[in-house]
Amino acid sequence: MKKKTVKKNATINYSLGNVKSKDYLYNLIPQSITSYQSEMSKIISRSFLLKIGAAILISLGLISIQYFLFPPFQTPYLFSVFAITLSALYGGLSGGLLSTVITALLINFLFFAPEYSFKFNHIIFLQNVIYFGQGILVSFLIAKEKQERKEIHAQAEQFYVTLSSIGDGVIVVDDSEQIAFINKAAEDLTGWKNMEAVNQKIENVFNIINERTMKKVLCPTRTALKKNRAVDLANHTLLVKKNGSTINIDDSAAPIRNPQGIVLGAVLIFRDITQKKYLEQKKDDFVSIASHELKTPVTSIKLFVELLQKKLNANKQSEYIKIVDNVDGQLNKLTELVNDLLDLSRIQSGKLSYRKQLTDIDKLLKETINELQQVYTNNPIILTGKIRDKVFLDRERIKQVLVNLISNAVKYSNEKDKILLNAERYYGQAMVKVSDFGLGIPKDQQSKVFERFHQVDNKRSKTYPGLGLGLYISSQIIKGHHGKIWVESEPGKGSTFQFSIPINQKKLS
Amino acid sequence: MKKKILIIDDDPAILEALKLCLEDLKYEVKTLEKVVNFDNFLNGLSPDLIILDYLLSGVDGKQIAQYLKSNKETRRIPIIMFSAHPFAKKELKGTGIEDFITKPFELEDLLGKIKKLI
Repeated sequence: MKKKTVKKNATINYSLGNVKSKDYLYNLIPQSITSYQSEMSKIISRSFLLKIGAAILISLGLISIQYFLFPPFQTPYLFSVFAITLSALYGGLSGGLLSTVITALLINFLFFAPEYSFKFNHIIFLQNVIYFGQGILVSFLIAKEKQERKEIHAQAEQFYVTLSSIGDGVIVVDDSEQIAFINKAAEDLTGWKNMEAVNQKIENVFNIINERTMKKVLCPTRTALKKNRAVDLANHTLLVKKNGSTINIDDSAAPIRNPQGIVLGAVLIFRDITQKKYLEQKKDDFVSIASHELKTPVTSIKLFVELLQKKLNANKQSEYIKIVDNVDGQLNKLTELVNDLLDLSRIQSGKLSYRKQLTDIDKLLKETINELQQVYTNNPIILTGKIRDKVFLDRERIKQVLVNLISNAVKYSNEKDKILLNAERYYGQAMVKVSDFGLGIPKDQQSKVFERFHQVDNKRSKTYPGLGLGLYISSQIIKGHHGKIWVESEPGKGSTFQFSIPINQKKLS
Repeated sequence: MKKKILIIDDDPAILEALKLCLEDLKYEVKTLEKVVNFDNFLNGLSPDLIILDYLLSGVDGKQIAQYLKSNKETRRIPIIMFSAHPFAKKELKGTGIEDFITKPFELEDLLGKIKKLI
């Protein structure tokens, strides 16, 4: 497997010269960073110089060999070139040059017949010039090569150090999902050391399970490699560490492509979100406790108010009746807010359950409209169309959705504007539309209205009270019925909220 | 003869409110904030109806209902349970209680249920 990757990286290996240390790891990592590509072109142009240098060197070498064919010059010269090469390798340019001078002196002194020593006739002069030329060139090229290697190493080292120092866990895999690299943070998060993890299959090291089902989850690198695009992990994922303990994580994976677009592997980035989850849980718990605590006094206040109403009615004290009726009205609003908060905490803890039964949805629509018409006397609510079938649903919950949609429609309508309801069957779905001719919702906000705590952002007009939970809860209820809810709207002209529930839903749940 | 109703809830405000409302309707009302042990908590009260909260500190309402419904002498006393948790009803299936109401409730709804039972 490893061989395969090296082969794919062949072009890179070539331009990197002969970087063998830390083998292909260095080659693979920098490719994940696009800025590296411009660095690559610089290196290629520099190695062009090296190639020219090598050609000159070979030519000069061949010419000098012709001269060396005259003994006794052959051996000492070749041997000396070897000495220069070694000196340049260890001592750099200056080492090479020093070695050239020393070997030239030694050759002249030791190997030439005494009558030729330091006699500068034309052949000996030429030989010495060629020899010096060769020595300088060898030293220069080797020094240059050394420097290139150093630079490439420094770059790779820098990428390596950067990746290692990233606070999030980083794991690089090859195209067969074998680990090529894992950084310090990933070592800490997974409990695996780089040495043990490299060449392991990713799922052994990055062992993730679903928080709720505790079943193994597919590693996102698989999807990233398969689909050749970046992927985020689904929520509620736990990472099982090497020692068996688990942490909540958040992650994403992206394919690593070379400049030609060929996928070489994938990079996985993940982080510990245990603390974040803990805080979220705290917040959810608070909402849950607060809403339950609020509910208790509301219950008894409601009873006291009802008792008071009764007494006042019995004694016909009409001036007080009006006041208490107002208290009762506000109390009902308070109850609704508390109920919304309770629903929110149930949704968050996954405890919103449904008591579904086959229900005559047409009747439910009619009843709900009749009730609401008594409250909203200014806006006529008109129903058209029929489903003409029983639908498997939670009566109270779907009624809650209808109440929410209709009261929203009234809330954002002008006085006396109609509210239109339409019920229809459409390909096995019960479709219900609630249309108003009011304020409308700008395009950029339409997708946000179903988010929790969404508030109408309208600086010009009046503010609209509420917790921003109604549509969120409604969308969750519709989701719980395997249905869909959406909105079409034009600012200034009105909005149409629609939901659909499958009619033969019993099979689904 | 006045009908006797026993209300068990750990919230004194609800006990007080219900007591006032029901006494106003000519019921005799006794209240209990908690049940320490099953054996003598009725203590000769012999109520005609028990209204019981689902979540109580100490012994929870479900256990009380189960105890009452499994005891020969108390089996016949109708029980209405209430809870802030609308799905407590599901859990109460099989305990044999007569009725259930979600908090906060309208007094009229509770009265309707009481009248149906006694």
